[in-house]
Parts: sequence; C-alpha cells; structure tokens
Amino acid sequence: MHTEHVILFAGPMGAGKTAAISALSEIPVVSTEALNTDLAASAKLTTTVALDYGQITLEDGHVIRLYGVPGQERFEFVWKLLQTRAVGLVLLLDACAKDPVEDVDFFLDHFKELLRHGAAVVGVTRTDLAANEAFARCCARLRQHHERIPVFEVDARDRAQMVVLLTALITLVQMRETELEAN
Amino acid sequence: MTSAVQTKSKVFQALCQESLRQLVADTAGVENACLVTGDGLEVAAVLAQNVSASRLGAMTSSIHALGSAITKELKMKDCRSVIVDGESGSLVMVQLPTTRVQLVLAVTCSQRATVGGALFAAKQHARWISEKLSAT
Amino acid sequence: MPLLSIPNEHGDRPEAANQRELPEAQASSSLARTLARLGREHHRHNLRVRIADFGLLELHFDQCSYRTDFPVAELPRALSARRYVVTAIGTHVDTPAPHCSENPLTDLFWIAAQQLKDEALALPEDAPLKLAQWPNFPRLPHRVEHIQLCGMLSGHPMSLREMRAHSALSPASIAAFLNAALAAGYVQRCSDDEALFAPKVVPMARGGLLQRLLNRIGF
Repeated sequence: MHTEHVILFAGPMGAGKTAAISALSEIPVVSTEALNTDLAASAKLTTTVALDYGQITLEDGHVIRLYGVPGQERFEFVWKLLQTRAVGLVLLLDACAKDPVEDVDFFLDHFKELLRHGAAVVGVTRTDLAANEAFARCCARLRQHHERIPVFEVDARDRAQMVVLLTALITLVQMRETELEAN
Repeated sequence: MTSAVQTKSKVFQALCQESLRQLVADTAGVENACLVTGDGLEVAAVLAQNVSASRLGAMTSSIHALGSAITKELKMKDCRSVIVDGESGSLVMVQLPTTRVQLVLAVTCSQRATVGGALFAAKQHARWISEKLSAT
Repeated sequence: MPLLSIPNEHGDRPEAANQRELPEAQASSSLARTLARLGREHHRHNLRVRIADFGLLELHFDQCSYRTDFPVAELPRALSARRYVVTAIGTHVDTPAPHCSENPLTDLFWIAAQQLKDEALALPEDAPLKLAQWPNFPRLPHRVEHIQLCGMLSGHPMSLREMRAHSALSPASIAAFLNAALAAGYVQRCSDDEALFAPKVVPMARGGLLQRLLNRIGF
C-alpha cells in the first residue's frame, strides 16, 4: 500500500501551475522561481525552473505530494524524471495562450507514459479573459482523442475549484489502480 | 547592474564568450563552460561537440534553483555554488555575484582536474564577468 | 393553428404578435420543472423566458447555449420561480449585450435538475448508460457523489442496476445524479453493442485514498 501519492501539475508557462499548488498545499510552497528573461514567450515576471512542491497530509501517514514542473520545453528532462513517480497529472491550459488545443496535444504526448499507468484531468484557466471558445475547443479535442480525461474551467487561485479538480483526479487514479490490479 | 535586456546584447555575449574561452584554455582538465540565465537560457558557451547547450543550460538553472531552495530552507542564505561529483568527472555551478538578473556559470571537468581547482577558476571568472558588467 | 402562449399565474401573456408561442405548461410548475419536461420531450425550438423579479432567460437549442440578462449566480433562484412566460423565438440570435452572459445549455438543464432531486427516475434498470461528457463541476452546483459516479461511468458503460451494485452510494443519490445528468445530456443511453464491447465494469473503491482526501479537505 502506497503511503505517498505524487501528482504532477504541468502545462504551458503562465497557465497557473504554481498558483494551483499554492491553493491546495497545506505547507508554504517550496518554489524554484527565476526571473523570466524570455519576454517574447511570456510577459510573466518569474518562471519555475526546477519544480514547485506542496503537499497534503492525510490520516494514517499518507501524503499527497504536489509537484509543479516548468512549462517550457527545455525543461523536458524534469517532466521525464517525475512522471515515472507520479500517479496523476493535472494539465493546466491557458485559454489566452496562442493555441490551447495545440498545448493539449503537446503535453499529453509528453506525458503519455504517465497516462499509461495513471490518470489525468485538464483545467482550463483564464477563460473569462479569452473570447475564443478555448474551453469548448479543448473539450472537443479531448473527446476526440482522450475521452476518459475530464476538462474543467478553473481559476487556479481558487482553492474550492482546485479541490474539485483534485477530487476528480483522485477518483480516476483509484479507478485506474483497480483496473490495473484486475488485469 | 545587469538587466535582462543586457544579457542579450552582442557586446555582452562576446565579452562572456571570451572569458569562458580563457577559462577552458587556462584550466587543466576543464572541458566545458556555459553561462546561463536563472531561467536556463544560454548567454555564452564553450562546449565539446557532444554537449547540448540548451540541455546543459536548463539543467544548470534547475539544479542551482534547487540548491537555492535548500539553502533557504536551512536558513543558509543564498546558494553560491553547487557541485555535482560524477564517477568520471565533475560539474561545478557558480552564481555570479551582484547581478540583478541571475546568472550561473557551469563548468565541467574531467578527472584530470580537481574539483577545488575548477571551482576556484569558475569563481574567478564569475567575479571578473560581474565586474565587467557592472562597469558597462 | 396558432399555438397558445403559456400564461403565468396572473394570466399575463407576451405582447409580441410575430413570435410563435408554445403549448401551455402547468402554471403551478416551477420553471425548473417546466424546463425538465421540455428536456425530456426533446424540445428544439429556441425559447425566451421572461421571469418575474429576475429578467430574461433565452434558450438557444441551435447554438447549444443559454443566455441571461441577470447574473448567472441568481439562476438557481430564478429557476424555482413560478411567475414566468415562455415563448418560442426564431433561430436568429443577436449578439449578446455586454451585460448578458452566454453559457452551455447543458449547464442550465443540470442546474434546473438539482431542484428536482425527488423525481422518480424513469429508466429501465438494465439500460446501458455512458458518460458523454463530465459536467463542468467547478462552475456548477454539485456533490462529491456526482464526481464519484462520473468516475465510475468514465470509460465503462453501466446500467442503473450495475451502478447500484458497484457503488457505495444510496439508490437515491444515484437517481438524483442520473436525473440531472440525463436531462443535461452528460449521461446518455448507449447501444447494446457499445456496452457489449466496453471494458469490464470497475467497482467504486470504498474508503482508500479518496476517502482520506475527502476527510482531510472537508468536501
């Protein structure tokens, strides 16, 4: 029986991964932020360069470890390193990004190893700021290629909304574990 | 004080490139030197053929950031350097002192060099680059 | 033959003469119940509902969206209203005014169905059901059981009988969920073939990580 359960938060820069972990974590988030020097890619002041770490301690010594990974492709080695240890993936997408649907394909492809043994949910953030039907398009894309992955609109800073996301993910993680044990 | 824009100027990059070239040439056993921003983007590099600048740069920034997280956790203030001691070589990463934009100098060396020697050379060149930048 | 408008309890009728008007609804029914009936009858004409004390609600079945000129947060209260007039409108949809919000129609039927929890579930016990789409839970009223049931149905068509057998939830919870999810289209009947070739049903876990998490975060 596992006593630690690793959940990864991935997605493009600026989607809200650090904010999401801060909203959920019961400890102050350990972050590895650096000044963003690639202003062409994003206007954000800082960016995660190794990982963010938060946790939720459950009864009987179980711990849910929340790891946020950098969004830029040059940190792909971090994604690879952590996905073998993770049971679940929260993919956060930014509705204001250039092409959120492309981001869906890109990140789910890079995390396909995790998807084989674990579960995932997708959260689309900043939909109130984008007038581009990003949420509907992401839903359509996932229905086409990954019908078991739910998609939700979320504000990554909102604890209640992130709790819903996490609850859905843990539900699917448990279902997946039961399936794998049965086969 | 160095700004993000300044890290992208050709003059600045040429200055750093020359410093790294000297570091590699003058320090026995040093094989690669790479100067990166805190978010893992290459500023200048002198690298052997089979080494990827973008991967080394990203990894350097990640490892240095984790070093900073640990020193902060243990109340040791800022992380000045990180040493990775491999079986057939070592990597030292040194943060440049007193620059507004974080810059990290990564130097790899074979077993011919001592880790202490590589660290000393890296710190020297890091200080030199910082002073040149502050003066511009 | 012209159809009659739906009078509200005060006998008021809409003024626009060029709008097609709907057959009557029971004036004593809440708007939620009226919408649920329209959903079951697979009603497809666009509708405008003038709700006393709230404002306008428009259902655009051709666009799969609804629009209100009052805050969406007031929708649950608005749907329990008994003073309203429903009229059919054409397919032309104006660009919404800045103060109007436009949202998926599935959300509206889900919200309405939350008020009809005690309705009997009119569904054969062995009819295979599939989850067509997860409700957008962070933006909708919901209970944790809804998330658990969606998890169970996700990737595994199941019948009502199987859901009762494999979940740790009460028949009333399952019925309430299905009433809402079927009305909104999140859950759909699927063909026997789809059910035949589907992966084996996975029972809902009892206790375990999810329960520990729920205990900790107080969902």
